[in-house]
Amino acid sequence: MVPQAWYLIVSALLFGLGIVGFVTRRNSLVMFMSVELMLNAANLVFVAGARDHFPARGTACALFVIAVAAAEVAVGLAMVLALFRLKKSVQADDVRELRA
Amino acid sequence: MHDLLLALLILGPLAVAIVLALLPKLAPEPARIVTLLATIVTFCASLPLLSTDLGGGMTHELDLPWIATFGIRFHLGVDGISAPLVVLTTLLMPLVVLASYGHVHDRVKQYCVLLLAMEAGMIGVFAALDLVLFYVFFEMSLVPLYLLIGVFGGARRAYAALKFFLFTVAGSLPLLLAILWLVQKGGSADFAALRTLARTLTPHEQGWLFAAFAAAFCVKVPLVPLHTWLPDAHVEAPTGGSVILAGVTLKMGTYGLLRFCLPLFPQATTQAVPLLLALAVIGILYGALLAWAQGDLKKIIAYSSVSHLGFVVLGLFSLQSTAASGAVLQMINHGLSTGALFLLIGMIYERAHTRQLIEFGGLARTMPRFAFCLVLATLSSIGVPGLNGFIGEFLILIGTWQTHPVAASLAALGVLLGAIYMLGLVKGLLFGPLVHPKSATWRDLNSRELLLLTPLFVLMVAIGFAPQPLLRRIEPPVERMLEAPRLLLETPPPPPPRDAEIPR
Amino acid sequence: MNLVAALLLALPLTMAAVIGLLHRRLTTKQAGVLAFAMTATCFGLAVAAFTHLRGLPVDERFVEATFWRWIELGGADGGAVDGAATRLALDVGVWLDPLSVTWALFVTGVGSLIFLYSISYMAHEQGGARYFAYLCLFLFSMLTLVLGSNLVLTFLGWEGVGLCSYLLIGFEYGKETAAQAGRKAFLLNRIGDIGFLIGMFWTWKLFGTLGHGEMKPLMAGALAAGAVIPPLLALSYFVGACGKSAQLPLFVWLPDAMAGPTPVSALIHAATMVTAGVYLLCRLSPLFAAAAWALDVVAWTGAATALFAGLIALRQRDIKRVLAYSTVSQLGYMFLACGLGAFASGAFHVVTHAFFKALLFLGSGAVIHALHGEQDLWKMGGLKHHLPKTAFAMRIGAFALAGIAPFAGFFSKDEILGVAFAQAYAGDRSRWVLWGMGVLTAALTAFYTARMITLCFDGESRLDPHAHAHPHEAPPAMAIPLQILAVLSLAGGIALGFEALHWMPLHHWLEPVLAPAPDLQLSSALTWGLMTLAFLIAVLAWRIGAKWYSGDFAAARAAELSLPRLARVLAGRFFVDEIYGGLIVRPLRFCAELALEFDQRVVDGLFRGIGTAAVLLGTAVRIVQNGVIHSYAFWVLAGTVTLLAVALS
Repeated sequence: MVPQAWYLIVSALLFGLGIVGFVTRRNSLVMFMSVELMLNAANLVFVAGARDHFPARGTACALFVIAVAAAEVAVGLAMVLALFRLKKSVQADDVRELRA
Repeated sequence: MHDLLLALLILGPLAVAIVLALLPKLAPEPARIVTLLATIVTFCASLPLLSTDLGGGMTHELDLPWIATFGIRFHLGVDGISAPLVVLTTLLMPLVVLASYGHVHDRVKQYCVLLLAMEAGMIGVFAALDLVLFYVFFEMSLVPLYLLIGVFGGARRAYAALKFFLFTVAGSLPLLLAILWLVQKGGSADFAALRTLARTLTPHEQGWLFAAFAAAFCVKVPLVPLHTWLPDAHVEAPTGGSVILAGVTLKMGTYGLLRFCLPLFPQATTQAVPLLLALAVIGILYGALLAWAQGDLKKIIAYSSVSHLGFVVLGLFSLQSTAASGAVLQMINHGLSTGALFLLIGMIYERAHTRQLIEFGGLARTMPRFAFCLVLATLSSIGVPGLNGFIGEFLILIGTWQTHPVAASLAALGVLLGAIYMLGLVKGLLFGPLVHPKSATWRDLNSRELLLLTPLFVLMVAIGFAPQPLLRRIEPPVERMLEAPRLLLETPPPPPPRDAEIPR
Repeated sequence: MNLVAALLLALPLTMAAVIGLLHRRLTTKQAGVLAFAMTATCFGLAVAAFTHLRGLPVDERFVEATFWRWIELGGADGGAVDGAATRLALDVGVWLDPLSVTWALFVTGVGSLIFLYSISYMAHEQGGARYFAYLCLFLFSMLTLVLGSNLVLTFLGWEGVGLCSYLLIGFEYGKETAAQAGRKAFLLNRIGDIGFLIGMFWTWKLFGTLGHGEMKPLMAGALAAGAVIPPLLALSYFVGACGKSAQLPLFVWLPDAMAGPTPVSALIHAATMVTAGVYLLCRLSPLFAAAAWALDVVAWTGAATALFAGLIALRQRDIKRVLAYSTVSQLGYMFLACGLGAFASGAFHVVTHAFFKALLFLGSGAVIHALHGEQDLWKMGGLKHHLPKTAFAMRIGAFALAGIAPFAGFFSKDEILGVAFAQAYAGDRSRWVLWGMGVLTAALTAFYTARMITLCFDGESRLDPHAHAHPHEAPPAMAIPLQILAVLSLAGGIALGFEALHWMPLHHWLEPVLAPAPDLQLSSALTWGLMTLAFLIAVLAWRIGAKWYSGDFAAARAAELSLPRLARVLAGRFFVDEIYGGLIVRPLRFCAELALEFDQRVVDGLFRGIGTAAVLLGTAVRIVQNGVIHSYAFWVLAGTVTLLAVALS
């Protein structure tokens, strides 16, 4: 059986990738993917935890995260679409409407 | 204990407001008529409240558990202080709705919804017997008024509404903290329980609690120097907003002072008396001077409110029962006379589209009915005997004079200043030659306008000649409110004559 | 008696309401007839009350009729706490006693005559019905003032008459001066009212009641026991009386009040309302008598006012203003009498003054009416040929005012001077000065009255021939009141009191109500001697005045205009108005403007400053909110790392 630490290391790597991707990339679609990466990194930890310690709770949390991620993508993609219609661009830098 | 009348008075207008708000497409006139009917029904339903307990106790009580964990209850009830104020509120509302025919033409439904929500909140404030419930209503009445000013107001409405909102909220935050502290300490928010709790407070605790309560109420009154939001709010508010603001909202402040500060924190009260009396006297004179220097009709009345409410605070903090009863009566009087004045100014504004005094003149000849009404309302406002204002001012002054002659004498000068600026207003509007180029074409008050003013005038005269039915109801509960601070003042305590006779 | 009392107040109020509500439907004449009928009925009621009181034993001559409870507070506790009264019980009711009935009699009596006169005087004015509504309201207020069963009701009437005066002075809306004068009258009266109010506050503290019936024994007891009432308490009421009765320094409103219609001047500003101050002094006479030096202040104020107003009257050109200042001057006499402790003499002068001053005003009204509004004495003259009846009646009134025997004013005025002389003779030296001032004023009075009559009726006509081709006598409704008042001015004095013959019915009638006057009887010879002296002075001054002005008018006018400085001071009425304006009104106005600036800049500025500070803080912080998602992400990351670092370390 793969030791739990390995899952955690992979999860951390995925999460790190997500962070780096979110901070460095300008394309909002890619940024979304990075967010998904981070969410799935968390999922990985939950699933690993489920296997070793709390089967029911861990799986439930993982399912929750998947549901949240799906909802987030649905809303987020809609927003990106709307923005694209407005700005003809999906670059995050082009959107600064919320500047104070 | 389970009298549903008060709950109905609060929930009824609220329900109508919600229904109106939810009906998506409603023409203006049906909305207005529904509102008018609702307010009239509310008024009629509130009349039984006036049969108060002449011993000073609460009647029409409703006591239900609400947030049981913290001992917070849905506790309503009225006594001789609050019942007249509730009825004043329910009386003014139909008049405000009637007056809206003249000046609200857009978003009528929203206007009606806001008025009804206001009404529910204001009745709740006067009827709540639980501190948290009181606070809820206190804030609940704030939001609709904010919107009334901010949406239906004049040119600078956003500024005025924000100012009004910030002042009141800034005042009521300390109040919320103090309430939470009290509730956490006593495990109950009920008045009766709090009065027991209040006896155990240290002077230090009393001090800051009093300050927190007084801050919220003094902003509402408004007591000098916290008054600067009032003229802006009045000037920008639509007529109905001004009437409610002056007629009822300001009384929440003085009502709160009487209902909470005096009985709950007697020691702090007695210590604060010199300060509050001084502020009251300054308010009377300063407000009157400011009113005199104004050229805008609404500002004159707004500052006169500062002056008049100064009399009320003076009466309350003289801790003398004649004066305090007079102060409660004066709250009603001010609602009637200032309500009438704002309505009249609204009516002339609808014709002239200006409120600058210098642009008027000579209206007595072209608008005799208006002239008559204005003179009558003015006389009531400046306390001419035979009308209601005199009774209130007289009782306040004669009572205050017994304990604080200097303050009362200075305040009496306010009677003179009041005559100066109000007669200036009357002269400017009614006498002399016609000034405004179009003033000859303005029609005199129509029957709707006369109808809505009539109840106010009838009450002015009735209270002036026979105030006793009201005073009889007001006095016993006022005595109860004054009991605690007066006990502290009377050193040495007077010998209890009745107890001495019991052994025989 | 309750019904009579109730009707005395209810009738005028009802009539005011009826005429007021129907004033568009009623013609002036209808309204006038209604109002006159009401007033005459009231006079009948007052006579009924009078006869009722006459029928009672002297010590029980009072009736209290209570209608309903007005205010009752502090009933539960009762008594007093720490020397302060707590129970305030006031009724709406009527207090009939010799004093109040005396006033009610002449108010309704003279009032009916003036109402009658008004019917035809106002016939051509616009809004005549409204005018009568105000007059009815005035009568109600005046009767409440006089008959009210407690001081607060008296105050109600007190303010009510002030209000009606305000409304009636400003009756002609369009006239700027009238509106201004009305407001001035109201405000100066209000200054006095504050005194009245404070007096009531203090009285309640001292006596625990404000009812006339309850105060009567208390005041008498205090006086008898020699308990000293604080002089300031009495003076508070005196300030009120000064305002209403136009005494120094609050007299300036009365001459301006002449802007109102002439019958109003006759009724309100001569015969009735302005005597309310004297009524108050009489009503509270035991209080004043027990209040140490308060009465001296009253006496000196009265004497000074009499002299001062008499001087100003010398050079007024407006016929109504001459009469107005003479009213102020005569009111000064009444205050002098009260200040000397001779309240009954003051009341006597009030009554005779009501007769002859109403006559003079109504007469001047007839003149003005005939000349279509001309009031300038310099533009009259020779009118006795056109208006013989009016001239005759006016002359009787003028003799009464000038204090020439046997006209009414002579007896009352002489009595006041007699009291002053008696007190001086008994050793009080300061009283010589008061007596001297009184005598000097008497001479001045005779002089300016003669001047007025002569300029108006005698000599060459100086009328504008185009404007007033044929002045004609007033219609009967105006003439009859003049004739009745002329009879009263002739016989009213001798009928009510002739000291030298010990014929003093009015004094005996009022005796149970008033504080006893100092008992100083002069010898009979001295009394007669003084009377002769006063008579001679008056006649002499009259002769000089009449001689001076009946001759060459140009010379008289030149004489008036010589001594330019004195002329200016007198014609400018000692510049009292200007002094008021400069010392009180303008500084107060300045204070108001200053307060406004202060309020907007400092007080509101403070709160706006708080708002600005919050905005500045927000501006500083919002730099972070640049709208770039990546920077937000970076800050989130940085924050997380920092928190982690802190948590792990």
